[in-house]
Amino acid sequence: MKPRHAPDSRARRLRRLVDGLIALQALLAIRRYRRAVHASAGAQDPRDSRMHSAQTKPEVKPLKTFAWAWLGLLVLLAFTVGSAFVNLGAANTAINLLVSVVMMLLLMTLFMHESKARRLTQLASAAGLLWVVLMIGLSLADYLTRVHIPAPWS
Amino acid sequence: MNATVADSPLEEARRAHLEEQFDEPDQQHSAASLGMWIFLATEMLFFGVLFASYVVLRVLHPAGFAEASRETDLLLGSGETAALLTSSITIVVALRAIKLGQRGVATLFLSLTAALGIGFLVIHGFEYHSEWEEHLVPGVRFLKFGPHAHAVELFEVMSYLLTGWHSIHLIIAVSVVLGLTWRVWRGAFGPDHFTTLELAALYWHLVDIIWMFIFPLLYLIGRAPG
Amino acid sequence: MSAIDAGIVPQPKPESLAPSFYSGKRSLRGWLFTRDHKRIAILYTLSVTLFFLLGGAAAAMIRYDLIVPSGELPTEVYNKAFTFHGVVMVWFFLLPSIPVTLGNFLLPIMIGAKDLAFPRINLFSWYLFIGGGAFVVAALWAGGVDTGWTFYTPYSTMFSNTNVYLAIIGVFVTGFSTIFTGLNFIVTTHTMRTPGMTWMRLPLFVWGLYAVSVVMVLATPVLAMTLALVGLERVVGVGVFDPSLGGDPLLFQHLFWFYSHPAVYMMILPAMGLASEIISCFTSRRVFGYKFMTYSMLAIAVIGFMVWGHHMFVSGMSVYAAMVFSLLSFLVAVPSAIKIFNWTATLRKGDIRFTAPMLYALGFVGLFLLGGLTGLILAAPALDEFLHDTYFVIAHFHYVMVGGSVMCYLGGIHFWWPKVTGRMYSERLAKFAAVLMFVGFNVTFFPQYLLGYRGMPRRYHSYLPQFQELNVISTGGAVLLAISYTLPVLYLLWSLKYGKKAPPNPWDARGLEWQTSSPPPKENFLHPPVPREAYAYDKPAP
Repeated sequence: MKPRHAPDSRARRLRRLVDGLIALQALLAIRRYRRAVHASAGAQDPRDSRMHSAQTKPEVKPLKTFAWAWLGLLVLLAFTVGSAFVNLGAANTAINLLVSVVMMLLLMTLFMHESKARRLTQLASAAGLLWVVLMIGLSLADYLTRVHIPAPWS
Repeated sequence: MNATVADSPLEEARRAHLEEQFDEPDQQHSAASLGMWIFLATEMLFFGVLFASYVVLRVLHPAGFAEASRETDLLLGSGETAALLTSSITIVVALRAIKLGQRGVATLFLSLTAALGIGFLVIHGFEYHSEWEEHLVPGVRFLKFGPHAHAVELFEVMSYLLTGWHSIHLIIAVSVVLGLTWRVWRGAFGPDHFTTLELAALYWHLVDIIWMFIFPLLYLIGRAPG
Repeated sequence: MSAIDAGIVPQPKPESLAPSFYSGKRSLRGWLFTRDHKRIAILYTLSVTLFFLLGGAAAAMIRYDLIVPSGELPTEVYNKAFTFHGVVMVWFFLLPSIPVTLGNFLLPIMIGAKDLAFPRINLFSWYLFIGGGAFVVAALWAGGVDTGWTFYTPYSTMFSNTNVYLAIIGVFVTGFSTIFTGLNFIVTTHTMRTPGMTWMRLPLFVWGLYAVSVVMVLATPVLAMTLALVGLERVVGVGVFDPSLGGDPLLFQHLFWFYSHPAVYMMILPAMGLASEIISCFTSRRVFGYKFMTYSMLAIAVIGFMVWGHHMFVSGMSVYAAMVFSLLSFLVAVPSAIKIFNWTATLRKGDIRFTAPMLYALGFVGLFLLGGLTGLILAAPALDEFLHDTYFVIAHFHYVMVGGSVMCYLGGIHFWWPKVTGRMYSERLAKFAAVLMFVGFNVTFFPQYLLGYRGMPRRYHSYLPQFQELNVISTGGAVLLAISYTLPVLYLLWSLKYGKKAPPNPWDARGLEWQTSSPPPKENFLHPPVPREAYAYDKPAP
């Protein structure tokens, strides 16, 4: 795999800069946009700059990482199950969910964002999560402030 | 585009798998991962509807949900969770092996992954069976009295929807992995060509992650004494 | 080594001699198993037009019923007519119309790509679309559905004896088609742009398609799952939406509108991008405030997800939540207003050519403005108390969807007709149809604002006698509207055989699609296109 900051990939890096988190960086993009315009107007075709080093296999993580991740997940599982038996009121569920989020981030950061389009895939996963939170959160805005009319049996 | 730069042997081999609408192997790979990730985001929202319904119903009936959750089998639940967490590691070990060209190791770990997935489903089948025995299948075979009977039924509905929809996903994931195990064994993948495997692993991880959230919400509430 | 590698910018040669994408496999198989985005776009255009005719027939039944206060049709027939009209028009015409037809055809060409990133998935989406449509038509065949397009519980889960299952399955299946289209467009925009085509050089139509794809991907799963829950409720009746069993019918409304309000933006966002293309071309000016146009589209896409509660002000939702949703609804008007201002500013001092596409686009700006402003009235809870479920709401969303989206769709069809078919249509007839559509639309729907303001409720087959005059005017307008929709079908078909051959760039437009031949070759470009700034109308066309 070619080094991330190969000196010849200048034009490509500039393009990636523009490509990135457009939605979030939109308001800050004005200066970068100008640079990108100059760069791609003057520079040669960016595809030419894709140099390939002589190698035969893609990079991989050491096996130790996998073992530690596995151990980490199982410890977190034990912790979350154990915590459920301590009466903490509403905090019980909060802790359970927090542990789940940590487990998720562990998997995601170590094994799930591997491609060259890493920032885009991160954006996609963040959007999915954020939208679920948005749906639940704004619905709860109704349920938590509503005047309750009890059901007949309660 | 006519690439005049000399390609490495790896790059040359990757080019052989290039589809006609793409110019570069990297471009094809990025498109595939991004596409898979967007699909995973939609999966999150598919489950999100069920999670949202669960949250709303639990906010309306906290006591009934706690009562119902206490009746789940925590031992089996934790066991299947551990199995699924392990499978997420075995599948990436298989992916690593394929990137290094170790076909045998990859086949072994992929079969292990599928076996763990099947194990999860079998354990879950036992749980479904005992719920059938205990008359806890909502709408079909449900018999319960007491102040929280309706709320318990709603919990069971959400439980069946979440685990059922999750099991369907896992069944798909297991079939995909079994198919890939066969193809890996036959030598269909290698250091220059493993995108399909990578996408399958992503999907497998998502199914695992969804379970990470289903598990505490169904099995762990109302456990603490007092 | 190509000319580009040598650093020389080549002058694109006229490519009219290149075999177009119509040549090649001409058999039915060649079309039904094609992976070419241009052919799939044409398949979509045909099917979408078919559904438009079906939905239009249902609309005609509604207007026919409302000529007399007692109603010309039996109640059940009327209920089924407005349900069918809504379901077909929303999910089988308005939502897909611009993205899957013009978007499918133009997106790869506009960014200089050979095809979408996943051509097979693109074809698969079309089959899903047709499959879903078949279910909905089957529902009609089996006797229709009477729940309204919103499938509100508990009516849809407990009381309706009509073919709810078939309709739900149809919408569910079509949802996957929408998801896959959105996914394909997002990935294509990110990974398939030709070198030099930076984000800030993208045509605004591509930005519109990108924004709409984000909404499609994030909203549609929610609809599919919610409708699945409705189906399940009908089968086993466990009470998720039933208050007597501890459930909550408003939960359905929350989930449904979490999808369906963004769905409204799915209809209007691509239309906004399309209007920018047409207006800048026929004023020969850059779009005013290009960057703000892009940001406002993204802002609409995102904020549009947080306003759904304004459909539920009178439903018994918490008043505090209503305030939050009201505020957010006012907020989403800001980016929409920015766009209106920018289109107007683009026109100023422009060298305006009143061609048919331009007339459609100008009509869009005006009608969308009126639809948007009345939306603000409905976003205020105090006013909505009175106007909710009246014809005011009907008029409001028809101004946005029909006046906005459909006008723009037709404008786009005219604008790119020479590119897609290689033929010119009759400009005079087209202008006449555009003006007739604007007039007919206003005659049909403006009276409905007045009807709603005076208190005529929606979805009833009969009404009080004092509403008759305005209803008759509205039905008269609908006749004009029907004529103005039929005309383009006729003269556009005529042009296929008798129209003048179109040059590669008949409008002197910029944009990459005008650099290739009309119709384009299968690979879209024989020479790699040279992207420049978008809307460089101050420079001569390449």
